[in-house]
Formats: sequence, structure tokens, C-alpha cells
Amino acid sequence: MSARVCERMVRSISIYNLGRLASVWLSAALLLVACGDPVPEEKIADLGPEAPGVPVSALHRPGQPCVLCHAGKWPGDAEPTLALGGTVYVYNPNFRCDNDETVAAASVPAANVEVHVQDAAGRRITMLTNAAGNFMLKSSEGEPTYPFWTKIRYKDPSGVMPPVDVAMNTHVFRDGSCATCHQNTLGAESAGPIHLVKDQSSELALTLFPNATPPACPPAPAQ
Amino acid sequence: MSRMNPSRMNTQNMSKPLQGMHFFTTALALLGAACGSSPNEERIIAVPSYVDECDSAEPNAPPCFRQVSEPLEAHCGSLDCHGNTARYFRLFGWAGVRMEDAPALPLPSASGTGVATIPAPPAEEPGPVLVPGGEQTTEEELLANYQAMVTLQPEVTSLVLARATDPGELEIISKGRGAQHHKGGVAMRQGDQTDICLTGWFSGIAQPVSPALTADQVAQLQVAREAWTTACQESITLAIIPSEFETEAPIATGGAAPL
Repeated sequence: MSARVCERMVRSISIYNLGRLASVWLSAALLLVACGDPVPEEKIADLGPEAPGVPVSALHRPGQPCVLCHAGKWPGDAEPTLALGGTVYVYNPNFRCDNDETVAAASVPAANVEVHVQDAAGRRITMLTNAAGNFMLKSSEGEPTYPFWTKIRYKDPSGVMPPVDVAMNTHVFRDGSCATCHQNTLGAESAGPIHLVKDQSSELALTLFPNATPPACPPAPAQ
Repeated sequence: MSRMNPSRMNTQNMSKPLQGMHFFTTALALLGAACGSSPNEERIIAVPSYVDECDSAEPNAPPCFRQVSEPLEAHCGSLDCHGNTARYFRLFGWAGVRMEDAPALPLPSASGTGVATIPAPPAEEPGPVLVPGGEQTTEEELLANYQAMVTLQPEVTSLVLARATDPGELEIISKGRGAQHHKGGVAMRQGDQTDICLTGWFSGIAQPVSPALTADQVAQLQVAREAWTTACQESITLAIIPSEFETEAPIATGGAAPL
């Protein structure tokens, strides 16, 4: 090997080229790291597995933050991509369990409740809750312009009762998952589940939803 | 190879590695300069006064902090935005996260300059749990909001209060206007009620009336305060649900079908 060829080889491995090579590898590594967002991934993991006997469908995971998985941001996000979604309940104190006095334990899904949205652009959107109390707006149907107001309305099928309207006090500013703020518990950081009926009397709940069955109570802790 | 005079070096006759080195050292030098602090002999921070009394019978009483906090809570303080302790700038209040325990909070001194530490309040029986969307914002929450506002940018806040710079220099204003990147988008527009309410407060509308003011100046200040109060009240009105939407059936439907 001639000295000139050797010199060329040494030059080709100069600091400059090494720097370029390193930057290429660094970019590739960063790209790989950027393929996931650990914050939502941890939150999704905290949600736990699917409930037994409930297939992955529009009925699954009531009360959980829908858009967390149905975000449409990363490869592998759940389909369909949702712009917003949540769950509506009826609170019936008669359904309260002896060993679980939380609000959520006495809440049953409210089906056929209209969920109305009026967004910042003046657009009005109506959704309807399903048997699990879930409602959703697919992104393919249009994204609401934030902030938006919401209210829920239930029309008694028998027509005996006047429509029940419950409006949310504040705007929704940026989170399409209602359950992010309306968690199953009531506390300083949660407004509690979305309730169509939440007064202490069960009369209205029974009138509007006579066929509602109490949720299964959690098993009593072992003595 | 000819010897290179360092004083005559330029990037054209540098080899690529040397160019890289040159760039690197320049960047380091700039970084060093950026990290260095400029001498500041007088670091007096003045912040807008905290006035907790809203119903004062005194004629020249300054506006209370609730007047500016409530519009801010209504427009920015929901649980999914700044009404959340995970946010760098967090707001407590009825629209968002509630304060579970009232900690010992330092209060501003009477002049509104600096802070004075007060002893922790006596331990009391825990009260009812406050929930978002429920009770009115408490005094402890208001004080925490005040502290959040004035400690965001103390120096700039001080300059704004002294009318030495425009309120638009404050991040809370520029982000709210959308002049800076803001994930929550445009929360207010320059000159609207919310903007008037916030910029007015940072500019000193709630400061105590100086005894040096003439009667005419006091009268002018009162007029300005009345206009400011109206703007703050209207700002809250803009944030609440429109009555026609709350009470009437929707005029059009769209979105998801029943599932």
C-alpha cells in the first residue's frame, strides 16, 4: 500500500467525518426514541386489561379516557381515531355497595343520552350514548374547535317526563377525553363521573331508567 | 506547507475539521456569555398588590384580586389546562383543581414590594372536600393564584408595574394572546375584556392610591378602575356557557351516530 493511499485513508477518518458519522447515528437513535411517548404509554398501562366478557368495541372501557389510546398520533394507536369521547352515568344511591361507597360504584351507564357540543367556531355536534353509556366523535367526522361547551340531554321515551338537561359549567379547552377530568372518583382533581342524574333521591333515576340494574359490587375483602 | 498566521485565519482557508472546531468554540463562547449574569446592584422586585377585601366601603379602595383571578380561572384554569398542578403555571379555583390543604403562604407586604413570611395558620379540622366546578374559589386558592402570577417573571412584572415596559412582554399575556407558542391556542385577543383585565392588573390598576395624587388624578383613576372592573366582569360572562345553547335544542346535528 502506497503512502498516498494510506494518507487518504487516514484523512477519510478525520474528526470531521467521524463527527458526521456520529451525527447520523445520533439522529437515527433519537428517531427511534421518538417513536413513542412514555407519558401516555404509562397512563395506558395504568388502565389495565379489558374487562372480562367485553369485546374491544364501542362498548368497551366505559369511564376511561378514550382519546388516550384512540389518539391517532403514533403507529399502533387504537382505531378509530377519536376527537372526543366519554361516558354518561345515572347515579342511584340505591345501587351503592356495602363495601364500596364511591360515587362510581352507584353509577350505572345511561344509554340514549344526547351529548351536545357547541365549539368555538359555532359548530354544533350531537352524539348519542350507547348501552355502555359511551359516546364518541370520530376524527374523520370532524374535529371540534377548542374551546367548546357541552351539555347532556335525555328525552324520556314515554314522554311523561320533560327532557333532562345538564350543562357543564366550564369550557373544554384541549382534552377530548372526558374521563381525564371526570374520573371515577370525586376529588380535588376530578369532577367525578358525568352524571345525568345525581341528586340524592333515586326517584328520578328510577323513573327515567326503570330497567337499570345495579353494577356488580366488588368482592368483600377477606377477613 | 506554509505556516498559517492565526490572525489572518478565515473560514475559507480552514480545513473542515478546523471549521468545525471554530464553530464549536464560538458556540461555547456564546453559551458562556449567555450564562453569565449581568451585574444588577438594585434588585428590587415590585409586584402588583394583593387585595383580599372586595367589599370595602372606603371610597378609594383598590380592586380586589378576585376580580382578576376569576376571569383568569374561567378562561385558563380548567382541569385540562392550567387548572392542573402538573402545569408550570397552575391555577386553583372552581373551574379546575382545588387546593386540598391550605399551606402556610407568604403574603406580600403592605407596599406590595417583596414578601413577608407569616406563621403557619393553626391546624383546624379538615373541611369538606372541594371539587372542580363546585364551591367558589377560596381565599387560600386566590392567594396561591396570586403567587403563581407574580412569580412567573418577577423582573418583567416589576418593569410592567413601573410602566417601564409593555405588559405584552409578560409571557402570561403573550401566550394568552397567542403571540408566543401556546398549546392552548389564543385565549384572549389584544384589547378584549380578558386582555384589559389582565394587563390592567399587571400595570397597577389595583395599587393603593398614592397620597401624592391630585383630586383630578384620583377621579381619573376611579374612572379607569370602573372601566377595568366592567371588563373583568364581562370577561367572566364570555367564558360561561351561552344561555341559548344551555336551554335550547341544537339547531343542527352531526357527529357520531348511535352505536
